Amino acid sequence: MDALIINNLVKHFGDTKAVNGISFSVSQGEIFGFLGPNGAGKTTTIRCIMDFIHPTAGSIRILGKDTQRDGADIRHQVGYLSGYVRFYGQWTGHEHIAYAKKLNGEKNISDELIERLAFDPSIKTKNLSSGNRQKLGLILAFMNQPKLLIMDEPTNALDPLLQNTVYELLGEAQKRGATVFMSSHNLAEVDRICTKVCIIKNGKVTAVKEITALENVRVYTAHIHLANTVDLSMFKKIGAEIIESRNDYATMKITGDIGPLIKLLSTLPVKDLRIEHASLEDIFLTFYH
Amino acid sequence: MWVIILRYLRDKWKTIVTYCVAGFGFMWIYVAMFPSIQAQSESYAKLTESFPKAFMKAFGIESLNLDHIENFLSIEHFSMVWPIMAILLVTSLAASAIAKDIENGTMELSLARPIKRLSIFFGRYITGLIAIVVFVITSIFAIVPLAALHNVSYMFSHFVTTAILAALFCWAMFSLGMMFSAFFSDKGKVSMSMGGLLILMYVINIISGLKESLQNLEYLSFFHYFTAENTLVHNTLKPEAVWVFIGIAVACTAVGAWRFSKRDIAV
Repeated sequence: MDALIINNLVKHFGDTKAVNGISFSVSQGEIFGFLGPNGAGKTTTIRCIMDFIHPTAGSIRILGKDTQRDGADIRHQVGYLSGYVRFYGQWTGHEHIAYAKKLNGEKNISDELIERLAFDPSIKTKNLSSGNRQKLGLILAFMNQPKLLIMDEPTNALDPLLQNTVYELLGEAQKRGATVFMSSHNLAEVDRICTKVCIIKNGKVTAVKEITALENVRVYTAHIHLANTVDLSMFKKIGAEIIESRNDYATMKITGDIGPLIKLLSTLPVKDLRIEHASLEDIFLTFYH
Repeated sequence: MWVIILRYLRDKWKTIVTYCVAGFGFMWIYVAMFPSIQAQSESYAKLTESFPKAFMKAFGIESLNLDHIENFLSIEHFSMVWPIMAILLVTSLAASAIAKDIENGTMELSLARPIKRLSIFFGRYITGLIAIVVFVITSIFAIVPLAALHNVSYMFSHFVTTAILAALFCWAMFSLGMMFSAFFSDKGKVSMSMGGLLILMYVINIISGLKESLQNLEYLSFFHYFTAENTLVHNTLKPEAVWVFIGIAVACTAVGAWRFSKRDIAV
Protein backbone atom coordinates (compact mmCIF):
# COMPACT_ATOMS: atom_id res chain seq x y z
CA MET A 1 0.00 0.00 0.00
CA ASP A 2 1.16 3.53 -0.71
CA ALA A 3 1.54 5.75 2.34
CA LEU A 4 1.49 8.93 0.26
CA ILE A 5 0.00 9.53 -3.17
CA ILE A 6 0.34 12.86 -4.92
CA ASN A 7 -1.77 13.09 -8.04
CA ASN A 8 -1.27 15.94 -10.51
CA LEU A 9 -0.62 18.49 -7.78
CA VAL A 10 -0.74 22.10 -8.93
CA LYS A 11 -0.14 25.11 -6.72
CA HIS A 12 -0.06 28.63 -8.13
CA PHE A 13 0.52 31.84 -6.18
CA GLY A 14 -0.98 34.39 -8.54
CA ASP A 15 1.08 34.14 -11.72
CA THR A 16 3.82 32.11 -10.04
CA LYS A 17 3.56 28.41 -10.77
CA ALA A 18 5.26 27.01 -7.67
CA VAL A 19 4.19 23.42 -8.33
CA ASN A 20 2.95 22.55 -11.78
CA GLY A 21 1.34 19.14 -12.03
CA ILE A 22 3.49 16.71 -10.08
CA SER A 23 2.56 13.10 -9.43
CA PHE A 24 4.34 10.37 -7.49
CA SER A 25 3.69 7.90 -4.71
CA VAL A 26 5.61 6.73 -1.67
CA SER A 27 5.31 3.12 -0.56
CA GLN A 28 4.82 2.18 3.06
CA GLY A 29 8.09 1.60 4.90
CA GLU A 30 10.13 3.56 2.38
CA ILE A 31 12.57 6.40 3.10
CA PHE A 32 11.80 8.68 0.21
CA GLY A 33 14.06 11.60 -0.70
CA PHE A 34 12.56 14.71 -2.21
CA LEU A 35 15.25 16.70 -3.98
CA GLY A 36 15.59 19.77 -6.08
CA PRO A 37 17.37 23.10 -6.29
CA ASN A 38 16.16 26.11 -4.30
CA GLY A 39 12.80 27.36 -5.55
CA ALA A 40 11.98 24.06 -7.22
CA GLY A 41 8.72 23.69 -5.23
CA LYS A 42 9.79 21.26 -2.49
CA THR A 43 8.55 23.27 0.50
CA THR A 44 5.33 24.21 -1.31
CA THR A 45 4.67 20.52 -1.96
CA ILE A 46 5.35 19.66 1.69
CA ARG A 47 3.01 22.44 2.87
CA CYS A 48 0.30 21.07 0.56
CA ILE A 49 0.88 17.58 2.00
CA MET A 50 0.46 19.01 5.51
CA ASP A 51 -2.63 20.96 4.34
CA PHE A 52 -1.12 24.28 5.46
CA ILE A 53 -1.81 25.53 1.95
CA HIS A 54 -4.48 24.28 -0.41
CA PRO A 55 -3.68 22.94 -3.89
CA THR A 56 -4.88 24.87 -6.93
CA ALA A 57 -5.61 21.47 -8.48
CA GLY A 58 -4.85 17.82 -7.88
CA SER A 59 -5.13 15.65 -4.81
CA ILE A 60 -3.01 14.25 -2.01
CA ARG A 61 -3.81 11.07 -0.13
CA ILE A 62 -2.06 9.96 3.06
CA LEU A 63 -2.61 6.42 4.31
CA GLY A 64 -5.64 6.19 2.05
CA LYS A 65 -7.28 9.44 3.21
CA ASP A 66 -7.69 12.76 1.47
CA THR A 67 -5.61 15.47 3.17
CA GLN A 68 -8.14 18.23 2.61
CA ARG A 69 -11.16 16.29 3.80
CA ASP A 70 -9.60 14.25 6.62
CA GLY A 71 -6.67 16.51 7.54
CA ALA A 72 -7.09 16.48 11.32
CA ASP A 73 -7.67 12.73 11.39
CA ILE A 74 -4.61 12.05 9.21
CA ARG A 75 -2.33 14.14 11.40
CA HIS A 76 -2.77 11.62 14.23
CA GLN A 77 -0.48 9.43 12.12
CA VAL A 78 1.90 12.09 10.83
CA GLY A 79 5.04 13.58 12.34
CA TYR A 80 6.20 16.84 10.79
CA LEU A 81 9.44 18.78 10.86
CA SER A 82 9.47 22.17 9.18
CA GLY A 83 12.43 23.42 7.22
CA TYR A 84 11.97 26.75 8.99
CA VAL A 85 11.35 25.44 12.47
CA ARG A 86 9.89 28.21 14.69
CA PHE A 87 8.79 28.10 18.32
CA TYR A 88 7.09 30.32 20.87
CA GLY A 89 10.03 32.20 22.35
CA GLN A 90 8.51 32.42 25.83
CA TRP A 91 7.76 28.71 26.07
CA THR A 92 10.31 26.14 27.20
CA GLY A 93 10.98 22.92 25.33
CA HIS A 94 8.91 21.13 27.99
CA GLU A 95 5.93 23.39 27.29
CA HIS A 96 6.13 22.71 23.55
CA ILE A 97 6.30 18.98 24.17
CA ALA A 98 3.41 19.11 26.67
CA TYR A 99 1.30 21.09 24.18
CA ALA A 100 1.95 18.50 21.47
CA LYS A 101 1.20 15.65 23.89
CA LYS A 102 -2.15 17.13 24.86
CA LEU A 103 -3.17 17.68 21.24
CA ASN A 104 -2.09 14.25 20.06
CA GLY A 105 -3.41 12.48 23.13
CA GLU A 106 -1.41 9.33 22.44
CA LYS A 107 1.58 7.46 23.77
CA ASN A 108 4.88 9.17 23.16
CA ILE A 109 8.60 8.65 23.52
CA SER A 110 9.60 12.25 24.18
CA ASP A 111 11.69 11.41 27.28
CA GLU A 112 13.73 8.88 25.34
CA LEU A 113 14.26 11.33 22.49
CA ILE A 114 15.31 14.11 24.89
CA GLU A 115 17.99 11.80 26.22
CA ARG A 116 19.19 10.52 22.85
CA LEU A 117 19.41 13.99 21.35
CA ALA A 118 20.98 15.44 24.53
CA PHE A 119 18.37 18.19 24.62
CA ASP A 120 17.69 20.42 27.64
CA PRO A 121 13.91 21.05 27.60
CA SER A 122 13.90 23.44 30.56
CA ILE A 123 15.27 26.38 28.54
CA LYS A 124 13.00 28.95 26.89
CA THR A 125 13.21 28.42 23.16
CA LYS A 126 14.20 32.05 22.50
CA ASN A 127 17.51 31.16 24.18
CA LEU A 128 18.16 28.00 22.15
CA SER A 129 20.81 27.70 19.45
CA SER A 130 19.72 26.72 15.93
CA GLY A 131 20.96 23.17 16.52
CA ASN A 132 18.92 22.85 19.72
CA ARG A 133 15.86 24.24 17.98
CA GLN A 134 16.30 21.55 15.34
CA LYS A 135 16.53 18.95 18.11
CA LEU A 136 13.23 20.16 19.59
CA GLY A 137 11.67 20.05 16.13
CA LEU A 138 12.85 16.46 15.74
CA ILE A 139 11.47 15.47 19.17
CA LEU A 140 8.07 16.93 18.24
CA ALA A 141 8.11 15.07 14.93
CA PHE A 142 9.19 11.68 16.29
CA MET A 143 7.55 11.66 19.74
CA ASN A 144 4.25 10.07 18.75
CA GLN A 145 5.89 7.35 16.67
CA PRO A 146 3.93 8.35 13.57
CA LYS A 147 3.25 6.12 10.61
CA LEU A 148 4.41 8.84 8.23
CA LEU A 149 7.22 11.33 8.84
CA ILE A 150 7.27 14.45 6.69
CA MET A 151 10.61 16.16 7.15
CA ASP A 152 12.02 19.24 5.48
CA GLU A 153 15.81 19.17 5.87
CA PRO A 154 15.89 16.98 9.03
CA THR A 155 19.61 17.30 9.74
CA ASN A 156 19.82 21.01 9.07
CA ALA A 157 22.10 22.75 11.66
CA LEU A 158 23.06 19.48 13.39
CA ASP A 159 26.64 18.37 13.97
CA PRO A 160 27.81 15.07 12.38
CA LEU A 161 27.26 13.07 15.60
CA LEU A 162 23.66 14.20 15.89
CA GLN A 163 23.15 13.68 12.18
CA ASN A 164 24.03 10.04 12.79
CA THR A 165 21.52 9.91 15.65
CA VAL A 166 18.85 11.24 13.28
CA TYR A 167 19.78 8.61 10.68
CA GLU A 168 19.42 5.97 13.41
CA LEU A 169 16.00 7.35 14.37
CA LEU A 170 14.90 7.30 10.75
CA GLY A 171 16.18 3.74 10.38
CA GLU A 172 14.32 2.66 13.51
CA ALA A 173 11.14 4.34 12.27
CA GLN A 174 11.48 2.43 9.01
CA LYS A 175 12.00 -0.85 10.90
CA ARG A 176 8.72 -0.42 12.79
CA GLY A 177 6.99 0.13 9.44
CA ALA A 178 6.89 3.92 9.27
CA THR A 179 7.33 5.79 6.01
CA VAL A 180 9.67 8.76 5.73
CA PHE A 181 9.27 11.53 3.19
CA MET A 182 12.16 13.95 3.46
CA SER A 183 13.60 16.82 1.52
CA SER A 184 17.30 17.44 1.68
CA HIS A 185 20.09 19.38 0.05
CA ASN A 186 22.62 16.97 1.51
CA LEU A 187 23.06 14.51 -1.38
CA ALA A 188 25.46 12.29 0.56
CA GLU A 189 22.75 11.97 3.23
CA VAL A 190 20.15 11.04 0.61
CA ASP A 191 22.55 8.49 -0.87
CA ARG A 192 23.08 7.02 2.58
CA ILE A 193 19.54 6.69 3.91
CA CYS A 194 16.99 6.98 1.12
CA THR A 195 15.69 4.05 -0.86
CA LYS A 196 14.01 6.12 -3.54
CA VAL A 197 14.14 9.72 -4.68
CA CYS A 198 11.99 12.19 -6.53
CA ILE A 199 13.77 15.09 -8.17
CA ILE A 200 11.76 18.23 -8.81
CA LYS A 201 12.75 21.27 -10.83
CA ASN A 202 10.72 24.38 -11.70
CA GLY A 203 7.66 22.81 -10.12
CA LYS A 204 7.83 19.64 -12.23
CA VAL A 205 9.10 16.17 -11.50
CA THR A 206 12.21 15.41 -13.53
CA ALA A 207 12.83 11.91 -12.18
CA VAL A 208 11.52 9.37 -9.69
CA LYS A 209 14.07 6.63 -9.22
CA GLU A 210 15.33 3.98 -6.85
CA ILE A 211 18.73 4.91 -5.46
CA THR A 212 20.15 1.67 -6.89
CA ALA A 213 18.82 2.61 -10.34
CA LEU A 214 20.46 6.00 -10.06
CA GLU A 215 23.75 4.35 -9.22
CA ASN A 216 23.47 2.40 -12.48
CA VAL A 217 22.95 5.53 -14.52
CA ARG A 218 26.05 5.82 -16.69
CA VAL A 219 27.53 9.26 -16.31
CA TYR A 220 31.23 9.74 -17.02
CA THR A 221 33.62 12.61 -16.54
CA ALA A 222 36.46 12.67 -19.12
CA HIS A 223 39.62 14.73 -18.66
CA ILE A 224 41.32 14.99 -22.09
CA HIS A 225 44.74 16.45 -22.78
CA LEU A 226 45.43 16.83 -26.49
CA ALA A 227 48.68 17.48 -28.39
CA ASN A 228 47.22 20.62 -29.90
CA THR A 229 44.11 22.79 -29.79
CA VAL A 230 41.05 21.32 -31.49
CA ASP A 231 37.53 22.53 -32.21
CA LEU A 232 35.48 21.48 -29.17
CA SER A 233 32.22 21.57 -31.11
CA MET A 234 32.99 18.07 -32.36
CA PHE A 235 32.59 16.81 -28.76
CA LYS A 236 29.29 18.63 -28.41
CA LYS A 237 28.08 16.88 -31.55
CA ILE A 238 28.41 13.49 -29.86
CA GLY A 239 26.45 14.78 -26.81
CA ALA A 240 29.32 15.62 -24.47
CA GLU A 241 28.88 18.57 -22.10
CA ILE A 242 32.02 20.67 -21.82
CA ILE A 243 32.60 21.52 -18.17
CA GLU A 244 35.98 23.20 -18.49
CA SER A 245 38.36 23.89 -21.37
CA ARG A 246 41.61 25.75 -21.88
CA ASN A 247 43.90 25.51 -24.96
CA ASP A 248 44.67 21.81 -25.37
CA TYR A 249 42.82 20.57 -22.26
CA ALA A 250 39.12 19.84 -21.70
CA THR A 251 36.92 18.29 -19.03
CA MET A 252 33.58 17.02 -20.21
CA LYS A 253 30.61 15.02 -18.97
CA ILE A 254 29.14 12.19 -21.00
CA THR A 255 25.78 10.65 -20.16
CA GLY A 256 24.98 7.22 -21.56
CA ASP A 257 27.12 5.30 -24.08
CA ILE A 258 30.79 6.28 -24.00
CA GLY A 259 31.55 4.54 -27.33
CA PRO A 260 31.20 7.64 -29.58
CA LEU A 261 33.71 9.51 -27.42
CA ILE A 262 36.28 6.72 -27.63
CA LYS A 263 35.77 6.55 -31.38
CA LEU A 264 36.27 10.31 -31.73
CA LEU A 265 39.33 10.34 -29.50
CA SER A 266 40.94 7.63 -31.65
CA THR A 267 41.07 10.20 -34.47
CA LEU A 268 42.66 12.91 -32.32
CA PRO A 269 46.23 13.41 -31.01
CA VAL A 270 45.55 12.48 -27.37
CA LYS A 271 48.43 13.16 -24.93
CA ASP A 272 46.64 12.04 -21.80
CA LEU A 273 43.19 10.70 -20.94
CA ARG A 274 41.36 10.01 -17.68
CA ILE A 275 37.73 8.80 -17.58
CA GLU A 276 35.84 8.52 -14.26
CA HIS A 277 32.41 7.28 -13.30
CA ALA A 278 30.42 10.21 -11.93
CA SER A 279 29.52 10.18 -8.22
CA LEU A 280 25.88 9.87 -7.17
CA GLU A 281 26.07 13.57 -6.33
CA ASP A 282 27.02 14.36 -9.92
CA ILE A 283 24.14 12.20 -11.11
CA PHE A 284 21.73 14.16 -8.94
CA LEU A 285 23.13 17.37 -10.33
CA THR A 286 22.46 16.24 -13.90
CA PHE A 287 18.77 16.16 -12.99
CA TYR A 288 19.05 19.57 -11.30
CA HIS A 289 20.47 21.08 -14.48
CA MET B 1 -10.29 22.84 22.05
CA TRP B 2 -9.70 23.16 25.80
CA VAL B 3 -5.98 22.68 25.22
CA ILE B 4 -5.98 25.69 22.90
CA ILE B 5 -8.09 27.79 25.30
CA LEU B 6 -5.99 27.03 28.37
CA ARG B 7 -2.72 27.50 26.51
CA TYR B 8 -3.78 30.86 25.04
CA LEU B 9 -5.06 32.01 28.44
CA ARG B 10 -1.71 31.09 29.94
CA ASP B 11 0.08 33.08 27.24
CA LYS B 12 -2.16 36.11 27.64
CA TRP B 13 -2.79 36.26 31.39
CA LYS B 14 -0.25 39.04 31.92
CA THR B 15 -1.92 41.20 29.28
CA ILE B 16 -5.37 40.51 30.72
CA VAL B 17 -4.27 41.23 34.30
CA THR B 18 -2.53 44.45 33.20
CA TYR B 19 -5.69 45.78 31.57
CA CYS B 20 -7.85 44.70 34.50
CA VAL B 21 -5.53 46.45 36.95
CA ALA B 22 -5.56 49.55 34.74
CA GLY B 23 -9.37 49.45 34.54
CA PHE B 24 -9.64 49.03 38.32
CA GLY B 25 -7.05 51.77 38.85
CA PHE B 26 -8.87 54.31 36.67
CA MET B 27 -12.14 53.56 38.42
CA TRP B 28 -10.39 54.08 41.75
CA ILE B 29 -9.07 57.49 40.63
CA TYR B 30 -12.52 58.64 39.53
CA VAL B 31 -14.32 57.32 42.60
CA ALA B 32 -11.69 58.83 44.90
CA MET B 33 -11.99 62.26 43.30
CA PHE B 34 -15.80 62.17 43.05
CA PRO B 35 -16.64 63.61 46.52
CA SER B 36 -14.72 66.82 45.76
CA ILE B 37 -16.26 67.02 42.26
CA GLN B 38 -19.71 66.45 43.72
CA ALA B 39 -19.23 69.41 46.04
CA GLN B 40 -18.80 71.65 42.99
CA SER B 41 -21.49 70.06 40.83
CA GLU B 42 -23.56 73.26 40.67
CA SER B 43 -20.65 75.22 39.17
CA TYR B 44 -20.17 72.52 36.55
CA ALA B 45 -23.90 72.57 35.72
CA LYS B 46 -23.74 76.36 35.11
CA LEU B 47 -20.67 75.85 32.95
CA THR B 48 -22.64 73.45 30.77
CA GLU B 49 -25.09 76.14 29.84
CA SER B 50 -22.34 78.10 28.06
CA PHE B 51 -21.36 75.12 25.84
CA PRO B 52 -22.89 74.78 22.34
CA LYS B 53 -25.52 72.03 22.31
CA ALA B 54 -24.02 70.43 19.18
CA PHE B 55 -20.63 70.20 20.89
CA MET B 56 -22.15 68.43 23.89
CA LYS B 57 -24.08 66.06 21.65
CA ALA B 58 -21.02 65.30 19.56
CA PHE B 59 -19.24 63.99 22.63
CA GLY B 60 -22.29 62.19 23.98
CA ILE B 61 -22.81 64.53 26.93
CA GLU B 62 -26.31 65.69 27.77
CA SER B 63 -25.41 67.77 30.79
CA LEU B 64 -22.57 68.27 33.21
CA ASN B 65 -24.73 67.31 36.13
CA LEU B 66 -22.16 65.75 38.41
CA ASP B 67 -24.16 65.19 41.53
CA HIS B 68 -24.19 61.41 41.01
CA ILE B 69 -21.25 59.07 40.45
CA GLU B 70 -23.04 57.59 37.42
CA ASN B 71 -23.13 60.98 35.63
CA PHE B 72 -19.53 61.66 36.50
CA LEU B 73 -18.29 58.26 35.29
CA SER B 74 -20.31 58.35 32.09
CA ILE B 75 -18.70 61.69 31.15
CA GLU B 76 -15.17 61.23 32.46
CA HIS B 77 -14.53 57.52 32.24
CA PHE B 78 -16.86 55.81 29.79
CA SER B 79 -16.85 58.44 27.07
CA MET B 80 -13.11 58.12 26.37
CA VAL B 81 -10.75 56.28 28.78
CA TRP B 82 -12.67 53.03 29.17
CA PRO B 83 -13.43 52.58 25.43
CA ILE B 84 -9.75 53.21 24.60
CA MET B 85 -8.66 50.56 27.11
CA ALA B 86 -11.24 48.13 25.74
CA ILE B 87 -10.22 48.79 22.13
CA LEU B 88 -6.53 48.27 22.90
CA LEU B 89 -7.23 45.05 24.79
CA VAL B 90 -9.46 43.41 22.17
CA THR B 91 -7.24 44.52 19.29
CA SER B 92 -4.18 43.07 21.02
CA LEU B 93 -5.97 39.78 21.74
CA ALA B 94 -7.40 39.44 18.23
CA ALA B 95 -4.15 40.33 16.44
CA SER B 96 -2.17 37.85 18.56
CA ALA B 97 -4.73 35.08 18.18
CA ILE B 98 -4.14 34.36 14.49
CA ALA B 99 -2.12 36.93 12.53
CA LYS B 100 0.82 37.12 14.94
CA ASP B 101 1.07 33.33 15.03
CA ILE B 102 1.15 33.18 11.23
CA GLU B 103 3.65 36.05 11.04
CA ASN B 104 5.99 34.31 13.50
CA GLY B 105 5.61 30.93 11.82
CA THR B 106 4.37 29.35 15.06
CA MET B 107 0.92 28.55 13.69
CA GLU B 108 2.46 25.43 12.11
CA LEU B 109 2.98 24.00 15.62
CA SER B 110 -0.79 23.76 15.99
CA LEU B 111 -1.64 23.04 12.35
CA ALA B 112 0.69 20.02 12.31
CA ARG B 113 -1.30 18.44 15.15
CA PRO B 114 -4.55 16.46 14.85
CA ILE B 115 -6.84 19.38 15.41
CA LYS B 116 -9.24 21.15 13.06
CA ARG B 117 -8.58 24.72 12.05
CA LEU B 118 -11.97 25.76 13.39
CA SER B 119 -10.99 24.41 16.81
CA ILE B 120 -7.87 26.59 16.74
CA PHE B 121 -9.94 29.62 15.70
CA PHE B 122 -12.70 29.12 18.24
CA GLY B 123 -10.28 28.06 20.99
CA ARG B 124 -8.59 31.43 20.74
CA TYR B 125 -11.91 33.20 20.17
CA ILE B 126 -13.32 31.79 23.40
CA THR B 127 -10.16 32.82 25.23
CA GLY B 128 -10.74 36.36 23.99
CA LEU B 129 -14.34 36.27 25.22
CA ILE B 130 -13.17 35.08 28.65
CA ALA B 131 -10.69 37.97 28.75
CA ILE B 132 -13.46 40.42 27.81
CA VAL B 133 -15.76 39.14 30.57
CA VAL B 134 -12.97 39.34 33.15
CA PHE B 135 -12.02 42.87 32.01
CA VAL B 136 -15.60 44.13 31.99
CA ILE B 137 -16.34 42.70 35.44
CA THR B 138 -13.09 43.98 36.96
CA SER B 139 -13.21 47.44 35.43
CA ILE B 140 -16.93 48.13 35.91
CA PHE B 141 -17.84 46.29 39.10
CA ALA B 142 -14.77 47.80 40.74
CA ILE B 143 -17.38 50.38 41.77
CA VAL B 144 -18.65 47.97 44.47
CA PRO B 145 -15.56 47.89 46.73
CA LEU B 146 -14.37 51.37 45.73
CA ALA B 147 -17.69 53.07 46.48
CA ALA B 148 -17.70 51.43 49.90
CA LEU B 149 -14.11 52.52 50.46
CA HIS B 150 -14.82 56.17 49.60
CA ASN B 151 -18.33 56.29 50.95
CA VAL B 152 -19.94 57.06 47.60
CA SER B 153 -23.51 55.98 46.85
CA TYR B 154 -24.28 54.31 43.52
CA MET B 155 -27.03 52.43 41.68
CA PHE B 156 -25.88 48.84 41.20
CA SER B 157 -28.45 48.03 38.51
CA HIS B 158 -27.12 50.90 36.36
CA PHE B 159 -23.67 49.34 36.43
CA VAL B 160 -25.11 45.95 35.51
CA THR B 161 -26.78 47.49 32.45
CA THR B 162 -23.54 49.27 31.55
CA ALA B 163 -21.55 46.05 31.91
CA ILE B 164 -23.93 44.29 29.48
CA LEU B 165 -23.54 47.07 26.90
CA ALA B 166 -19.77 47.20 27.46
CA ALA B 167 -19.45 43.43 27.00
CA LEU B 168 -21.46 43.58 23.76
CA PHE B 169 -19.34 46.49 22.52
CA CYS B 170 -16.13 44.54 23.26
CA TRP B 171 -17.53 41.37 21.71
CA ALA B 172 -18.37 43.16 18.45
CA MET B 173 -14.94 44.81 18.30
CA PHE B 174 -13.14 41.59 19.16
CA SER B 175 -15.05 39.70 16.46
CA LEU B 176 -14.14 42.40 13.96
CA GLY B 177 -10.50 42.05 15.05
CA MET B 178 -10.61 38.25 14.74
CA MET B 179 -11.98 38.62 11.24
CA PHE B 180 -9.08 40.90 10.27
CA SER B 181 -6.69 38.50 12.03
CA ALA B 182 -8.01 35.60 9.93
CA PHE B 183 -7.45 37.57 6.72
CA PHE B 184 -3.99 39.00 7.39
CA SER B 185 -0.64 37.34 8.08
CA ASP B 186 0.74 40.34 9.90
CA LYS B 187 -0.19 41.57 13.38
CA GLY B 188 0.54 45.16 12.39
CA LYS B 189 -2.04 45.07 9.61
CA VAL B 190 -4.72 43.91 12.04
CA SER B 191 -3.93 46.72 14.48
CA MET B 192 -3.81 49.28 11.66
CA SER B 193 -7.13 48.11 10.21
CA MET B 194 -8.85 48.10 13.60
CA GLY B 195 -7.36 51.45 14.57
CA GLY B 196 -8.23 53.05 11.24
CA LEU B 197 -11.79 51.77 11.26
CA LEU B 198 -12.47 52.78 14.86
CA ILE B 199 -10.97 56.25 14.38
CA LEU B 200 -13.18 56.63 11.31
CA MET B 201 -16.22 55.56 13.36
CA TYR B 202 -15.30 58.00 16.11
CA VAL B 203 -14.96 60.88 13.62
CA ILE B 204 -18.25 59.91 11.95
CA ASN B 205 -19.95 59.98 15.34
CA ILE B 206 -18.64 63.48 16.07
CA ILE B 207 -19.43 64.84 12.59
CA SER B 208 -22.96 63.43 12.69
CA GLY B 209 -23.57 65.37 15.90
CA LEU B 210 -22.22 68.62 14.51
CA LYS B 211 -24.33 68.86 11.36
CA GLU B 212 -27.97 67.90 11.15
CA SER B 213 -27.78 66.87 7.48
CA LEU B 214 -25.18 64.26 8.41
CA GLN B 215 -27.04 62.96 11.41
CA ASN B 216 -27.90 59.60 9.84
CA LEU B 217 -24.21 58.79 9.56
CA GLU B 218 -24.22 58.12 13.30
CA TYR B 219 -25.73 54.69 12.61
CA LEU B 220 -22.44 53.66 11.00
CA SER B 221 -20.48 54.18 14.19
CA PHE B 222 -20.02 51.78 17.12
CA PHE B 223 -19.76 54.85 19.34
CA HIS B 224 -23.32 55.85 18.55
CA TYR B 225 -24.50 52.59 20.08
CA PHE B 226 -22.03 52.61 22.96
CA THR B 227 -23.46 55.48 24.96
CA ALA B 228 -22.75 54.93 28.63
CA GLU B 229 -24.97 57.85 29.50
CA ASN B 230 -28.04 55.80 28.53
CA THR B 231 -27.04 52.82 30.61
CA LEU B 232 -25.22 54.39 33.52
CA VAL B 233 -27.38 57.48 34.05
CA HIS B 234 -30.79 56.35 32.73
CA ASN B 235 -30.35 52.60 33.15
CA THR B 236 -31.70 51.93 29.66
CA LEU B 237 -30.26 49.53 27.15
CA LYS B 238 -31.37 50.43 23.63
CA PRO B 239 -32.46 47.30 21.71
CA GLU B 240 -30.89 48.66 18.51
CA ALA B 241 -27.49 48.76 20.25
CA VAL B 242 -27.89 45.18 21.44
CA TRP B 243 -28.89 43.88 18.01
CA VAL B 244 -26.23 45.84 16.12
CA PHE B 245 -23.45 44.58 18.37
CA ILE B 246 -24.72 40.98 18.31
CA GLY B 247 -25.22 41.12 14.54
CA ILE B 248 -21.73 42.46 13.86
CA ALA B 249 -20.18 39.96 16.29
CA VAL B 250 -21.91 36.97 14.71
CA ALA B 251 -21.27 38.10 11.11
CA CYS B 252 -17.59 38.90 11.68
CA THR B 253 -17.05 35.65 13.59
CA ALA B 254 -18.62 33.61 10.79
CA VAL B 255 -16.58 35.36 8.08
CA GLY B 256 -13.37 35.08 10.15
CA ALA B 257 -13.88 31.38 10.89
CA TRP B 258 -14.68 30.62 7.25
CA ARG B 259 -11.62 32.53 6.02
CA PHE B 260 -9.27 30.87 8.53
CA SER B 261 -10.46 27.40 7.59
CA LYS B 262 -10.00 28.06 3.86
CA ARG B 263 -6.88 30.21 3.62
CA ASP B 264 -3.28 29.25 2.89
CA ILE B 265 -1.11 29.48 5.95
CA ALA B 266 2.58 29.83 5.24
CA VAL B 267 5.35 32.03 6.51
